[in-house]
Amino acid sequence: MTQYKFLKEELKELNSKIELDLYYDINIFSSKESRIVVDQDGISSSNDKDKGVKIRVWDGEKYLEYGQSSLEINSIETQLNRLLKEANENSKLINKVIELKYETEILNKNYVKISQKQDIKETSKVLNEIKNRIRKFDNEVVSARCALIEEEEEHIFSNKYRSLYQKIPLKILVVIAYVKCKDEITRMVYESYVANDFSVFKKFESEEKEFNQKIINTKKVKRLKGGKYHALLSPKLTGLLAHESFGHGMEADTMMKGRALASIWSGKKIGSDAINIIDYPAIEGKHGEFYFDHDGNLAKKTYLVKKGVVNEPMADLYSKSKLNLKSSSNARAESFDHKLYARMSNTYFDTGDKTKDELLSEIKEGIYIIESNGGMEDPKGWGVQIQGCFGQKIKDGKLVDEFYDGFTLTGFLPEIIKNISGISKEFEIEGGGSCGKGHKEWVRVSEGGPYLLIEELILG
Amino acid sequence: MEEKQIQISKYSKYIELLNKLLSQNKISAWNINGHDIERENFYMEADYKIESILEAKREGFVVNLYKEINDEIGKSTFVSSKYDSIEEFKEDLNIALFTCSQSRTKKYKLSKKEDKEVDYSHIDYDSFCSKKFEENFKSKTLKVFFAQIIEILKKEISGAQSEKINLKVNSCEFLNSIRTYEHIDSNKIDKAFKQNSSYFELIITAKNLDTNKENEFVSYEKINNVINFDFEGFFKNCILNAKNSVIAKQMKNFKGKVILSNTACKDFFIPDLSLNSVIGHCSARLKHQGVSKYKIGKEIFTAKKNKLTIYANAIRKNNSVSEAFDEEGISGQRTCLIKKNVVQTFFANKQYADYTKNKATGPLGVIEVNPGDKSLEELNQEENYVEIITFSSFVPDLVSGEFSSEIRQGYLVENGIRKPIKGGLLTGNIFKILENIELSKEIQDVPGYVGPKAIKFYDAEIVGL
Repeated sequence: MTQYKFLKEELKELNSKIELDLYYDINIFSSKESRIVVDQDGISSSNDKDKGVKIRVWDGEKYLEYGQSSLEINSIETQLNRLLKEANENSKLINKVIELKYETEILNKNYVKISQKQDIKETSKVLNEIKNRIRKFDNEVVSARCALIEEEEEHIFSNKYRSLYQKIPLKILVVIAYVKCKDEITRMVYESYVANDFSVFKKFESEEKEFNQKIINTKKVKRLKGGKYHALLSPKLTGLLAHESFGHGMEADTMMKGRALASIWSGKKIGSDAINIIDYPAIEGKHGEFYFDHDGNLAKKTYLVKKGVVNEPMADLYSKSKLNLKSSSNARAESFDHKLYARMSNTYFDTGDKTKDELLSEIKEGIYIIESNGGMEDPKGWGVQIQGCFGQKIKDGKLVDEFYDGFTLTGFLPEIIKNISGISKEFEIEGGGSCGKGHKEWVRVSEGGPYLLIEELILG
Repeated sequence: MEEKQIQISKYSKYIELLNKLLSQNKISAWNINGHDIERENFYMEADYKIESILEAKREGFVVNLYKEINDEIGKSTFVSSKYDSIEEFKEDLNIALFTCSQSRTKKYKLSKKEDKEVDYSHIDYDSFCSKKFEENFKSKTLKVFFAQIIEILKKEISGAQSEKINLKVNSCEFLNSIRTYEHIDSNKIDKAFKQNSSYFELIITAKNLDTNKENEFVSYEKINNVINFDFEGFFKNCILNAKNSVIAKQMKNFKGKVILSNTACKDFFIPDLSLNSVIGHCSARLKHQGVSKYKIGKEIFTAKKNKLTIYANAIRKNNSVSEAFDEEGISGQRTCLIKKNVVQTFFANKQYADYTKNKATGPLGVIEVNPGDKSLEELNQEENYVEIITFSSFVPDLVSGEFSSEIRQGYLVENGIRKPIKGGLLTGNIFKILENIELSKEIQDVPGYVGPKAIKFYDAEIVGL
């Protein structure tokens, strides 16, 4: 904290020296990740640190950006002045200036969370015990691995108006079992648990039975026959639908480029009044947690869908200015040497009024989709692709002992949302994953929501 | 040589501290893997307007410490960007020393300079970097080059507009980098290499003026050398696919012959986010963990037609995925993994090579798949089949080999008539679907993959909508 507190003050002083009337901002990125992995070969560990500064100057029609690893204030000042000079020269030649609608309220804030520490010996011991329990749980578990990933992100945003600092620690426990199945194929059973502190171990303990049950269920998997199904989505799948299928289409930079079908749905009804889809970074202990974004906007809830109506998109400063939108807190860059885009954080469906069991009882024959290995966005076509799904058969309102894996959930998003006929009270946001824009630009996110009952869902 | 000397001096103060720990027997070995990345990126939005120009310089390195303790090894890795002071490095080194004393893995032989796997006689500093590209990069003329490419794009788009279909460029990203890597270790191995890399992404929307239906086509290419790249051909292909996307029919259920061509074929062999299971099971780590089903000298499956021969080539010239060494200093090699469907060896770092009693193979590098003997024309001589051009995202399960991937663009050929299609899921198991295939004799040479332009599956299944 001390180093960054000092740097924050140095940047404030630097801002006070800048006389040119051009918009600019400075983002300091710093991330630490320590990883302890325990598997059959023993314990290994690594510590990653990354830091750097990203300086942006607006010349009236485009950003000039520079990123470097060094955080020396003199070097930052030199690069900022170089970019300002170049932008100033450019600005004299620009005919049609685009005015950036940046925030001018003066803010000086710190958001600091203390990272809980634990001796590596103690952590390794706990991981080893978990690994051994999983390995011994079933004879068909051919290998097991546990890892604790401790992330700590520090970030400074600084410009003429804002001086912001945040420090967010996150811990992710990853548990993996490789299981030999009846069809002689080895499959991976994976689970991750996220929190700000070591409560991830307690989370696992309370859900260990479920993890073990997953091992037993995985051994029985069959291939699902493609077709339309009455389905119940777990909170994980609900989250993926919110994130991959809907969220990406509501990123304002994608809309600005004419790449999102959501643009023509804006203000229109897409589902029942019970449907609300939200993006909100400031949720404690979730993987998309942060308190201000890389444009210096303080975290706020963005209702992508409100009472069934397509509402406001997630924006960065440039797309917000071009599309004349309200501020949202969604400007994010992967690192100091990457461009900033409109991105999601913690994205979820809001809760409904039924219980999971009530929703289940409404299915005569169908599938409970429990998890998947990810999805791919299609903002222009609003096509849904969530692949590598794992599911369980439902018959006469009850889960039966029949399991399927490797199938894909697909279809046209507005059709799927229209076909949501029930939303549970139970609610979860989980996951320690990252999200790419297309096939690159990774940022940490999470997603979730309630259980969703959906009719005529295409699975294959 | 001059450039290399600069590199060495950059790490000298760290080497001094590491050697001191070595002489005090606090560690048994160390290595430093430095990486310097310079970027020059251009971002264009709709109407050919530049939104951002980004330059960056990333400097960092990875340090590995090893401590042999009886029949175990303690290993600690720390990665950091450039230190602004030696005190910061000392702080991290102390944490790493403690971590090293606490971590334990089964002992394995650390690499030595005299090992055959540490032979660099076949690798030069400049082997993987295009001189022409570097000249353009250093002299900041890529901006001019990008402007020229955009002029070609404008011309192609304008020439392809018709009364029925309107085309629009939504965005374009042109990302370039020069990367310098260096490996230095306590065995006095010191090697460096340079790599160039480019990424070009183009998104075009086509609008059918009769139906008002709009669709976009996203193309992205990792490019070995942009200076020689056929942008005109690339743009023509993007435009064709964008136009097809608005007239494409939704794919229905289908069982039979499916051809993956160009991008789809490349994505099948080297998926973006994972390894293809047929290659992944050649991992010594997976073998050691009891997850790989392969045995050296045994067939991976019985083939009905073409058999697979696959190499991992980390030292292929002019390929931006080639690498001179792995983090333990094992030099890049060309390794035959599978020959005519028979497993030849497992790819491994030093640790897993030792555990599985195999040779360390260094970095994986470029996947080379031997071509077949039929031309694309011959493979396409069918009355009824599906050709897939691109997937939305091809992500097989590495361990089980199962996949189910949405078709973003393709053709359905019925009674010899070819019509664009989209949607539907190519579904199956990698090991099963590869039992009955033919590969084209024409190859594609792209970053990370050199192999057939097309693969024909005889027993494939598409689940339609």
